[in-house]
Amino acid sequence: MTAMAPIDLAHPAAAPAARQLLSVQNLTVEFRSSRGHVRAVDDVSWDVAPGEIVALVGESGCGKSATAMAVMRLLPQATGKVTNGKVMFDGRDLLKLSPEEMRQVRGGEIGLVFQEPMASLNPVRSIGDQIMEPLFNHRDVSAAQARERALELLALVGISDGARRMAQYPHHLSGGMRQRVLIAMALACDPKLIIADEPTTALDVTIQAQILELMRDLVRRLGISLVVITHNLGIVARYADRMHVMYAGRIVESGTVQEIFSAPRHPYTRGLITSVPNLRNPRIERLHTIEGLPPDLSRPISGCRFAPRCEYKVEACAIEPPLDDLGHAHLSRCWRAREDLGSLNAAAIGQPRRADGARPEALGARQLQKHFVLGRDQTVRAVEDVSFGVPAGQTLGLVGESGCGKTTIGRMVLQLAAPTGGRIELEGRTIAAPDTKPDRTLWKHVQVVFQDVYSSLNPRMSVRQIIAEPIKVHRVMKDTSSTAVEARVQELLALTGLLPQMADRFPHQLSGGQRQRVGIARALAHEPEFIVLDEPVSALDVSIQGQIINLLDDLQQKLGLSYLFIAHDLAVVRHLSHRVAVMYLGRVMEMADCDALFADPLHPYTRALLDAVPVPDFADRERATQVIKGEIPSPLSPPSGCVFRTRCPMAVSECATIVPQLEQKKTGQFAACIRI
Amino acid sequence: MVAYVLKRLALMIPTLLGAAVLIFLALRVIPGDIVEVKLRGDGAAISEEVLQKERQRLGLDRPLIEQFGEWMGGLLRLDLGKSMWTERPVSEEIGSRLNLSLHVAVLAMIVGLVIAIPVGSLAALYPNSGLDYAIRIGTMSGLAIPSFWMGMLIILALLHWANWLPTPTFVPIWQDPVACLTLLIWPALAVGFRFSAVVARMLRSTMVEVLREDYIRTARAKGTTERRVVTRHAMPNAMLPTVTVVGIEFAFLIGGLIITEQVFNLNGLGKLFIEATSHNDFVLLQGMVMVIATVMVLTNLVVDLLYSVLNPRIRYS
Amino acid sequence: MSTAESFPSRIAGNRAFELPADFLRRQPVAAGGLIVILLLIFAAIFAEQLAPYDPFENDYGAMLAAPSAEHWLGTDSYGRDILSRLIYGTRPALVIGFASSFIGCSLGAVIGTVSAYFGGKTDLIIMRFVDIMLTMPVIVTAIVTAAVLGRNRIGAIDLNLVAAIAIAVVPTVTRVVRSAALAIRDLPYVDAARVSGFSNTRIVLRHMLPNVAAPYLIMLTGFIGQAILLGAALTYVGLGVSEPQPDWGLMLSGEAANFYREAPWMILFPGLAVTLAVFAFNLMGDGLRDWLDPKFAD
Repeated sequence: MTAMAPIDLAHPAAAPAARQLLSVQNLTVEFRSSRGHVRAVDDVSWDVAPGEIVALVGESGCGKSATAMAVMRLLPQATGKVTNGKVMFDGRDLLKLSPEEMRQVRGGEIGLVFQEPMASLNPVRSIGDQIMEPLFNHRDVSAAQARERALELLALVGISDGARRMAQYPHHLSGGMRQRVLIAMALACDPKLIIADEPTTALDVTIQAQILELMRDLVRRLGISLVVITHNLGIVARYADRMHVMYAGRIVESGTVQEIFSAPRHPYTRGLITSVPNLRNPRIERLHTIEGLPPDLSRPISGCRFAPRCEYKVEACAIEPPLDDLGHAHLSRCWRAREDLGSLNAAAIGQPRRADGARPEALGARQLQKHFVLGRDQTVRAVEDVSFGVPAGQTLGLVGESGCGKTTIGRMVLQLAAPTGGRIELEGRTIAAPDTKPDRTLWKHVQVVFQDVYSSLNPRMSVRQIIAEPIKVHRVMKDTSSTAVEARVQELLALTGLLPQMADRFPHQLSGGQRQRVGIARALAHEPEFIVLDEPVSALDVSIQGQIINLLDDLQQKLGLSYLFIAHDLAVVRHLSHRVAVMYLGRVMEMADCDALFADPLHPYTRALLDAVPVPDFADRERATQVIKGEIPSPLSPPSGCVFRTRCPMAVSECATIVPQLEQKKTGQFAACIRI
Repeated sequence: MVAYVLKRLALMIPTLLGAAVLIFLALRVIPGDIVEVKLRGDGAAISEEVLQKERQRLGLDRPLIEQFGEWMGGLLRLDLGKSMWTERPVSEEIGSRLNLSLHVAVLAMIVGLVIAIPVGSLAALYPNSGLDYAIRIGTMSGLAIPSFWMGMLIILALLHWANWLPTPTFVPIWQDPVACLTLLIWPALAVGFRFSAVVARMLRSTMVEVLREDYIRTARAKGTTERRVVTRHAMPNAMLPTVTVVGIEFAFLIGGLIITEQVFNLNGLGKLFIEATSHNDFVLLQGMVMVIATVMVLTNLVVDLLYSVLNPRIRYS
Repeated sequence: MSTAESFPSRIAGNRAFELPADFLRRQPVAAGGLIVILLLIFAAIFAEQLAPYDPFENDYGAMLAAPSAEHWLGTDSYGRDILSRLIYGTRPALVIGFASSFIGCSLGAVIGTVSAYFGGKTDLIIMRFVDIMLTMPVIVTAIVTAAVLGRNRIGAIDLNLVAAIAIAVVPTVTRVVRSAALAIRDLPYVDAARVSGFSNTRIVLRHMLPNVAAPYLIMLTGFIGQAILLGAALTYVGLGVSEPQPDWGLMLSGEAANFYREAPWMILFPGLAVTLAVFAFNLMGDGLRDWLDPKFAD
């Protein structure tokens, strides 16, 4: 029984507690739900030394956030409960403090930074009010002193004109700015420790880099310890000192970041590292993913929790292994932790990825434009003068941060939005232009896979109904007898890696990855030649992402499909695309063959993007990053001339007047910049 | 702000115009004839000729379009015409009674809010406790009890325990607050009970929802006391949907009033409305509907303005 | 939480017979309301067998009699047995409640969904009309409609009373359903259906309407109680059911209004009956809402 799991004597919790600032010992957290008790955190121990940056890593539901909430005693009162363990902080057990003493710790000695900065700030109270609040809570300060400190904090987190910002409300601020405010709040009372729960997950990659650099510099300078909770291994590799990998409520591996990234000792950690494409390594042919799904924690589990998904499983795994100390404070919960499981980089290097000039163009955009008129003098220039071509049977990656227009382009291709200028051609035939009527037979050629796996399937239809609907309605096959349709549904299920019995399930009975497979099967049921993939993996957990990416890759090769792949994750785009267009504020900044673009990015924006992405590789730390400054301007009032000039390190005065055209700067490599 | 209010006031005109057209058309379809009801009411034998003359005098024999033109023209001059039953100007008939009804309405709203705000917040602070269940059952009965029956129960209670009933002579509050309140507090209670129940339920459910928001967690993470979390963080947010409901419920409050005035034998709009219906007095009915619609539209405007004051995300410039 | 989650995904996958059991298990309080409703239906069906007296029978020897062993709940000013009239009164109450709520909510649901899907001018005109209707308190609309329509009785039930109540609730329902449908219209699965090249009719019927079922069902149940209340109020001001029918609203008005100070039982029990019935339907409506809303699921 898991409840009786042995306490690891070798664990550093036994080490002198005085050295540690925070020491979580044998923490167990249970949640009450309609399905019974869920042990979300099971006998977890970790600690933080003064000034250290520690990362808790894992996928959704692994218990990493619940651990942090338990430390702060902020678990939902009605449903969550710590059933065992100690949380030693500065010589006191936080779990034993009175509510009033604990209140003094929160915000006073431990600061907390959350994800979703919009939801985490009170929408009806001013920024100044919210930053000053911890001071009033914990320090005996006058209003004037609090105000002075708040201004100081705003400057510290890189917000200029603090006096004006103090009077504003959260909705006036951009996402990055809000996150800075949250950090200022956490810093207000000079805490000894800050816990940051997915602090940058909701942010664009260039903003994410700004925030992470800021946090690291601040804690180093002020001597604060930092606990970062994240699913992103790149962030861990780049910023943390030590890490704890969690899986299904357990810590499966702990150690220094350097050790773990150079020689992971748990198959799950290995899987996490290899299942995401890595921008620093050569492009591999196929991602090495973790198959299957994490266990249901409301049911009793025997043996190693990872064993059902583990490729290194042996008989011994029927008994759960202890967290074994391998030396240098490197711990792994695996019977085979001391064995050499082979190199991480064993995967075959991929074939070069470039657009094949011999292939005809499947789909093309010509000077495409989309303006949304919101009212007098209010026009969103979502897409401006965009041209590209997708070679038949290959993939064009459309990459950029929020507001760059990539999704709008996808919607125009799908006839869900009409262009206000230019046109889209499918195999040379115009399918969308301002004055053409929508083509009622486009479904035969173009289909879609959406990002949001929770709302892209009709909750009232079974998987069978969802896949069979287009086949029956459009008589895609000659034989529409129910046996023929059922055979086709089964064929599509098999093709997308789903079991036959899934046909009877409803969307809510499927996991995220399974839903996305159903979405792909529905698209394939139309027998299209072209699929718009609108962020198809960004809502999924890392290990599931890899599975879907491999599936899309296989389907392209098997069925000769052409993809328009819309994404913000550069590594994923590089892995799947043949040609890539980088967009910023409605315009294409750079377009080139995949390998060429990533090997030698020309445009300063492309370089900034690539630079901002943290890579799951310890060596990446050494790379000096050039964080680009500023926020993405509003598409309501884009900058004159080059839209990127306000953040560009190379901008000169001409950039404000000349709109740079996309020009060939190297063979096959186009960039819109007057400085290259 | 001023520009916004003016714009909203201007936008009221098409809505009220629509209401005027709708009510005019609806009433002309009424079967039954005021002249007949008025003159033959007691079964008296009146000749058809006399009836015809009376119809002519009231302008009922003219084409609909003409009648409509007259009604519209009157509206523009703020002249609601003359009651077909008493032949007094409609504005005069309504004026004296509107005062009483608005008194009860405002009083009921105050009574309702005074009950609802503490009750709703208490229930939200201790969700699923015994207190919460008691409050939920209480507020749900508030929705289920017919307000006129509530009025009867209040009268029975007054008779039983005080052996006293107020004399139904209305004095405005600014003339004699004591006399006014001793008369009007009872119907206000009967009507305000439902109002308080609706508002308390809304406040409870939004409070429970707001208390689950991320920013409440942030406030706690800052070490804010639980009392401040509720009063400074949760309450201002929970008030927003509640304000909207107060506006919507005002309509029900007026509705409840129309019926409940009968129970207390108060000579307010409600009584006039019911009389006008039974007499088929369209001119009076039309006028009253327009007055009620105007009160409702103005209430919505006040609610929207209040909402914008409470919610910095909406600023009218 | 995404909008998709606010629809009853949990319900979709279960077989029909599992649903009531699931509902009762998760919403035991609402089950109490359901029991009361079933008892009322039972009383309505078996009124002849249950009622101790003929509800129309005048007993001039026992006028305004207080509750006693003979007349458990007393008699009214005509000497009619109040208990018997209460039992027979379940019939108009339930029929008026069910019928007017069903008609009003269904009309509102269809108008609201169509308005949301087509948008543009259709939507503008419909919503303008709804806005105008909403400037009137529901009861004013109902009174005016009842007065306009006059009476059209079939048995104890006044069809025009049902129509008046139904029409009065349409604007509110239209509003609510329209906003639910608007949220669904922009969901990826509706976009996917458009990309699939399906017809508008198919998208509305197959992909949108089933997903507005939740707000529809919740309002349907909630408005049954409101309709019973409205019916009683209309009867009270003389526009609903008329003598000598056994009807709860009627038992609170007319003669009762004249005599209740001397004979409180005349109004006490009918008022309680109305309250209990409305309470039960509201309880049921609340339970349904919580059951269908996944926010309350775990």
